[in-house]
Amino acid sequence: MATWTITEPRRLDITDDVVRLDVSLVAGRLSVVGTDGPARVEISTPGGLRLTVSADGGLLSVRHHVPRTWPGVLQPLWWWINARKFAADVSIAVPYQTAAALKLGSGSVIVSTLHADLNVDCASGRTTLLGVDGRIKATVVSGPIEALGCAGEIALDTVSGEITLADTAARRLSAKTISGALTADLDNPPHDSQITLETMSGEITIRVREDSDLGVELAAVHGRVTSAFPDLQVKGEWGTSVKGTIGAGTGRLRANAIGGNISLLCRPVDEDFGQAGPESEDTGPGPVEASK
Amino acid sequence: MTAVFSHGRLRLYLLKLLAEGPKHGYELIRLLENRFLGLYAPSAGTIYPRLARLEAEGLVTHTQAGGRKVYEITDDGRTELTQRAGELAELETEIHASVADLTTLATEIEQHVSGSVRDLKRELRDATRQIRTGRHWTDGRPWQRGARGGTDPGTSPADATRTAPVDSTGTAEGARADQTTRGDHTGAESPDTAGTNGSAAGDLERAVEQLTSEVRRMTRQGAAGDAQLRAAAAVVSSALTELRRLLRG
Repeated sequence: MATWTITEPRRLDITDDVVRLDVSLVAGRLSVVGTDGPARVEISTPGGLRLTVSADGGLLSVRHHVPRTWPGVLQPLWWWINARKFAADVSIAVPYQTAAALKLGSGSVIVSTLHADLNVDCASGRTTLLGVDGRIKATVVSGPIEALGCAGEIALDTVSGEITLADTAARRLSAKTISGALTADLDNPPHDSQITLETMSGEITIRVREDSDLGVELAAVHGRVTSAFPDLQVKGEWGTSVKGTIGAGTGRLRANAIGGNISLLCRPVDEDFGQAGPESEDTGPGPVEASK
Repeated sequence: MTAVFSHGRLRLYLLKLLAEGPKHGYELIRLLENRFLGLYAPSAGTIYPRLARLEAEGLVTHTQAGGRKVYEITDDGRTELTQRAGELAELETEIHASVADLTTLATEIEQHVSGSVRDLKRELRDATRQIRTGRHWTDGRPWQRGARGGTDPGTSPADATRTAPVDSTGTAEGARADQTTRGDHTGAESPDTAGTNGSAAGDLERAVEQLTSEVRRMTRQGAAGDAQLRAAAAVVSSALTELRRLLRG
C-alpha cells in the first residue's frame, strides 16, 4: 500500500493496477479521465486541507481530511467561510474500466471516457460528463449537469440546476430536476431504451431521431406540448398531454413537466453510412464536433 | 483539438487505425474518442466520407458483415502508411502532448462540453420556435398559425451573425442572404400552395433554419479551407442577386 500526503503541487504516477477510484474532496475542481495508460494523479492545488492519495489493492483513493466544523446550525456558515480556502485542483487519469465514486462539496466535477460505473455526488457545483459509457449516477443539489456523448444507463438528479444531455445513446436515462430546464438530444438510442425526464418548474426539450421506436407519453401540467411528430395525439384541456407511438414503439419515452412547456423535436437521420456521398459530410450530428 | 487533424491527417490516422486490424465505422469513432480522452469524437458524417474517399483511392476496402461495413486496409494503403511514417510519428507526438497535461485537459474538456451544449441548446431552441410558429401546433392553439410564421424579427440578426463566417462582408450581407432565401422559398412554393400562406411561411421558416444550421455545422467542422469559404460566400451573394431580381421584379 502506498500513501502520499500532499501539501504542494505534485504529479504522481501510480504503478499499481487501478480498478476502483474513490475521491472525496471538500471543494475545488476534480477531473477524472479514462486513458489506456497507467493511472496518474496530478494535483495542481492541494487546497488548505490535508490531502492524501493512496493506492491499495486496486483502489486508488484521494481524499481531503475534513476538520472539525462548527456545530449544528452554524455548520453552513462554516462552509460558506471556508470552502473557498480549501479549494483543490485535482486531475486523475485512470484506465477506462475503472469504477469511480466521486464526492465533492462544492466546485466542479469533470469526467471523461470512463467505461464503467460512475457515481458523482456533488453538493453545489457544475458537473460535466464527456463520452462516459456505463452505469452513471450523478446527484447534485445545486448546479448544472452537462453530458456529451454519453451512453449506458444514466441517472441524473439535481434540485436546482439545468440538465443537458447532448448526443446521448443511453439505454436507460432518467433525469430529474426540481427547478431547471431539461434538454436531451438522443442519438441512436437502442430499441429498448427507457427514457424518463421530469422537472417541476422548467422546460423540457427532447430531440429524438425520426426513425426512433418509442412509445411516447408527454405531460405538461401547466404548460404546452409541442411535437414535431404530427402523428402524436394531443389530449387535455387544462395542460396538455401527448400519447402515441413513434416507429415500432418498443422503447419508452416519458416526460413530465409541472410548470414548463415540453417540446419534442425530430432529428433527421444521418445518411446511411455505406452510401456516404459528398452530401453526408453535412449531416453529421453537429455538436459532437470539437469546438476548438 | 481538431487543429491536430489539419491537412488530411485524420485520413492518415484512420489508415493507421485500420492497419491495426479491420474495423467498422463506429469502432473507429470510438477509438478516436478514446485516443483523445473524449475531447474529439468525430461524427459519422466526418468519418464515412473520408473512408469512402480512401476506398475510392484504393487504400482501403470493405466487406459487408452483419449489416455493417467492415473496413480493411489494402497493400496500397500500407505502402502509403510507410511512406508517411514520419508524418504519422509527428502526429502521434502531438496527440500525446495534447493529453499529457491533465489540468489543462480538464479545462479543455469543460470548455468543449459547455460549448457544444450551448450550441445544442440554441439549435433546439430555434427548432422549437420554428415548430411553434409553423403548422405543427399540437395543442390546439390555432391563432398562432401563420400569424407569426413569416417573420420573426428576433431571429434574423442572430442567424445572420452565425452565417457570417462564410461571408467576409459580415452581418448585413448575411442578413440579406437570409431574407432573400426566405423570399425565394415563397416564390417557388406560392403556385401550389396558394391560400395556405401560413404553411408556406412555415416551410420557409424551416428552410431558412435548415440553411443556417447546415452552414453553421459545415463551418464548424472546419473541413473547408479559406478558398472554399470564399467560394461559398460568392455563391451566396450571387444567389442573392438572382433572388433580388426574382422577388422585387
